[in-house]
Amino acid sequence: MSGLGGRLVFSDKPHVRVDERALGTGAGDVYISWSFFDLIQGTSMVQMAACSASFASAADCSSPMTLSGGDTQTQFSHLAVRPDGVLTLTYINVNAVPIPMFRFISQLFDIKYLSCQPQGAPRPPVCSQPSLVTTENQPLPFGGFLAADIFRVSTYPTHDQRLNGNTCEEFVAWSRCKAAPFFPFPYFFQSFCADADLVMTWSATDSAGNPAGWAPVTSVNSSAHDQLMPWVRTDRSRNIVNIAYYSSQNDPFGHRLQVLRSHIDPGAYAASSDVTLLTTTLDDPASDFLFVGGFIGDYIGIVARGEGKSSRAYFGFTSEYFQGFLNGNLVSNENNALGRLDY
Amino acid sequence: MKTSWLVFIAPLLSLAFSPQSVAQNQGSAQGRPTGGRAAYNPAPFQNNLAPLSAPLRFLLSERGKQLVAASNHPNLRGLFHSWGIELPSAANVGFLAPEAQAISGGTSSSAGSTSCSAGTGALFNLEGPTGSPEIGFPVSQNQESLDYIPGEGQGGSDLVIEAGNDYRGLVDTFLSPTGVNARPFPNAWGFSLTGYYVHRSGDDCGATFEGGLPHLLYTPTAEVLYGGGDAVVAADSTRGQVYAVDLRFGATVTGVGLFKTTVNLLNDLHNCPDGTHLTNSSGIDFEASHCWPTKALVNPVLTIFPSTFSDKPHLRADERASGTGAGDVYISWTNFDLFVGQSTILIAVCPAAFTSDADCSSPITISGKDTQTQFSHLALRQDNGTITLTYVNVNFIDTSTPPFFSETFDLKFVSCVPQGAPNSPVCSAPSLITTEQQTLPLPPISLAANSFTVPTYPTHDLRLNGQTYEDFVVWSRCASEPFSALGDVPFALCPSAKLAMTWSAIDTLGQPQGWASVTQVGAKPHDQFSPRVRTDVSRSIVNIAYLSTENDHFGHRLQVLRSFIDSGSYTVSGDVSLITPTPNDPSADFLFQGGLIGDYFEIIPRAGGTGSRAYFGFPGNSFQGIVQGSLIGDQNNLLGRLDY
Repeated sequence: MSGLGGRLVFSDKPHVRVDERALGTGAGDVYISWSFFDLIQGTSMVQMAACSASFASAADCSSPMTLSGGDTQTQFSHLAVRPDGVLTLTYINVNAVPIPMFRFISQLFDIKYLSCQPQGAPRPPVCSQPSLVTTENQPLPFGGFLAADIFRVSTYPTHDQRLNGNTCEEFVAWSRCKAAPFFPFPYFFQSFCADADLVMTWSATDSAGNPAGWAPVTSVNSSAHDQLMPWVRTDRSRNIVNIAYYSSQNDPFGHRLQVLRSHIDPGAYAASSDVTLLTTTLDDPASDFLFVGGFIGDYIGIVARGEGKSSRAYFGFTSEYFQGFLNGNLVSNENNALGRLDY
Repeated sequence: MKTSWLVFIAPLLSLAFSPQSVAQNQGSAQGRPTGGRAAYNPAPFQNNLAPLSAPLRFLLSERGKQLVAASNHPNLRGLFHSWGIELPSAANVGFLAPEAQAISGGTSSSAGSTSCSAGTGALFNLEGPTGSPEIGFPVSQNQESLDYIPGEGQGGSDLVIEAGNDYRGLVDTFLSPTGVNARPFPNAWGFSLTGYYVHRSGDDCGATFEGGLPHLLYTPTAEVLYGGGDAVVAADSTRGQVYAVDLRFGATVTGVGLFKTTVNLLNDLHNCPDGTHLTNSSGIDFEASHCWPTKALVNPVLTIFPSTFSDKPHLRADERASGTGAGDVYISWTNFDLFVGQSTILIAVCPAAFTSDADCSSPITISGKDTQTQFSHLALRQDNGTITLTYVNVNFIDTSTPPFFSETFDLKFVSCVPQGAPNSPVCSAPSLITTEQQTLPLPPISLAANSFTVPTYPTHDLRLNGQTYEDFVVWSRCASEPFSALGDVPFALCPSAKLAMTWSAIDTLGQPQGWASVTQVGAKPHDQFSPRVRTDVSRSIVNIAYLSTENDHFGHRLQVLRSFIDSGSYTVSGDVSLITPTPNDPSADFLFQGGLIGDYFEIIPRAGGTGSRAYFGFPGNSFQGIVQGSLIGDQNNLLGRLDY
């Protein structure tokens, strides 16, 4: 947290992607985005900067630029870089709206998208205005809770592109609540999600990254209990869109988590029914002696690469399976765990 | 006194938590006072070192206060007001003002198993997966106490009576008009936070009927007191009577509710009909009052802040057929003095034929000079009716180096000679059983892999060995020092809880002849806790029921186990019974989310079945409820049975 011209501000939730191209304007550049909270104004904006591959200090990077236009309640920026160097970004803007019939405020999440043309760091990219992907009317709300877990989790869209012929297609996935995310009691309002599902949409984009039109939202995984924290990453060697996420679908209590991988095959526009169980052992998020289930982070990660015929994905996630010692006693201990999948 | 010892690391880390996770820890950190001695207790108990009961501690947590703020429970709101507790405004907690009334649909059918052999335990309430019709979603039940009378139900069935905390009594108040004249919604559960559940027919373990323990009227202030939870049940099989106690509190008075019914009434289809005993069309708990017709408010104390509060009652009936005190009912409880920051143990006795508190003795303090007491637990000799009682006295010890404090519990023992109610028994001065140096830490966090708080809570019972009565005491303790520090930051956590026990022969007056060395019960991994001791007097077998996470890799999921001390033996048998082979996940309750399972559960063994039969009352989340069309975990009171 810092003072900036007398303002109380805070930079939160950074994301980063690298333009891995060998040649071209912006090749090798590193893009960083984040949420910029103004605590006095009560606003947050998505900002971005570009640094050259050879940066040695912040002086080698562009000045931060605000990308979120008129949106003032933004969070969860997520970057992707197309094979042609066009940068795309998603984020959410939170709207507070009255609940029909009630006198309470619920949260709606506008899922926003924008694209940027690289200019070569330290010059900032030239970005479009944000456009609406969709409005999620049943998000996992901030401050809400799940039925059988107490860690914080909210709707956090992530995305990536794939090439389909000569067209670049953008895929966005996020968690949402199967029903209205508040308590169904006449005089009682509590942000609560009884069953979280995973959904997606996609759009073809033009050479500048502008979307041609987002498809209707469809299900990725709507199994019992909760599917959470999707992270989208395309295996560019085969144009397979991977989606890694947590799910409690195999626990009768809906409490313990596994890491699953769904995918969208080349040419397809729906998630395959072939879901891979990356962690066959159920993990108990409540068994960490330090956080006792209260915190497992906001996201997990997947990265997938290949050479055209076979691919390998690594998954980074949180696990309590491996135990530690406390005063000579075995206790569960939250660790960062790594999984690998060859496909 | 250093103030830094009040700083637990968990509240600091809670900055990274979701708000509800902190609330679920019933974290006292949010309400930490300036100058209070016990940060683990919520205001106004922060000058008291003894821990407050878990159910009330939850209601005084931020989450609990939100629920109370949303409710129109006259007693809770009145008590909180008298204590100066500020409730969140409706706008902040997001609760609707009760103008519009809409009743969502529910079902009275239950999807849970009622089989006594269910690996989870049998569902022992009639709430149904979608909850009470007026509520529309299922709410929690926990902290069970039970008794049974073999073969005294219909057609020779066992008559099993249980009481527990039932949060339908809180949620129902959302439906009712606000203010001190709030009245329960018609044809609904009512305002009682104390549920009763009775099995009287068939060989299964399902509830035949249920309801909320009825209201009491405190005449001097005309305040209606609804059930406040923390209930205990005791049966007198000799006289065919059944008793229950619970907490009663309100804007003007606090005390302990005492209720009586009979075996005949409990088998009476007219006065105690099958199903849920709902309020009538005027919102009156008519059926519950007919099923439990005799009631008294014991130890009524006017609520004048700062005032006193009666907590954690216990109850035993003298089932002897004859002799001084035969048939008497003993009630003990903790009396918190919020002004001086002390708590003492009191006892009162009522005759079997009591009709009001006027028939009972005046309460007497039996904890001597101990001023930080809690968890009284009663037992009775079968021959002469001598009463024995255990409790804890909490010591906090300041140290000059991190963690700057430690906590020990003195386990105390008192014996009382009956004089026949309403004469008070004549009690000994308390004596020390042992000082437990490694207690389970007090709130907000006790265990390594669960977020509910569980205290070191000794329970005990007597057995006859030849001509000698012996008293066995069991409690849970930490396998290692639970208080440590990270740098200068104190850290209180028990990485592994174990059961410990001791015993002593007692003389005819109940005086202990010398306590045996404390031994650890078993050496299983993870946690064993909440032991409840009860002797099968028909065979002098000391039963110990407890919760354990030993079979869960993560040390998180619970099973109910039963160990025992065989007649003539002084050690716990290696033959351990798994009462619930199916582990229960305490986090899978959507209301408490692992933050509250109650301070105790119960076992009651008697001669029954083909030899001996024990019933177990405990909470579990295996039977799911339906919210918004989705199946979710829901905390229920469950019943288990063991023939041995």
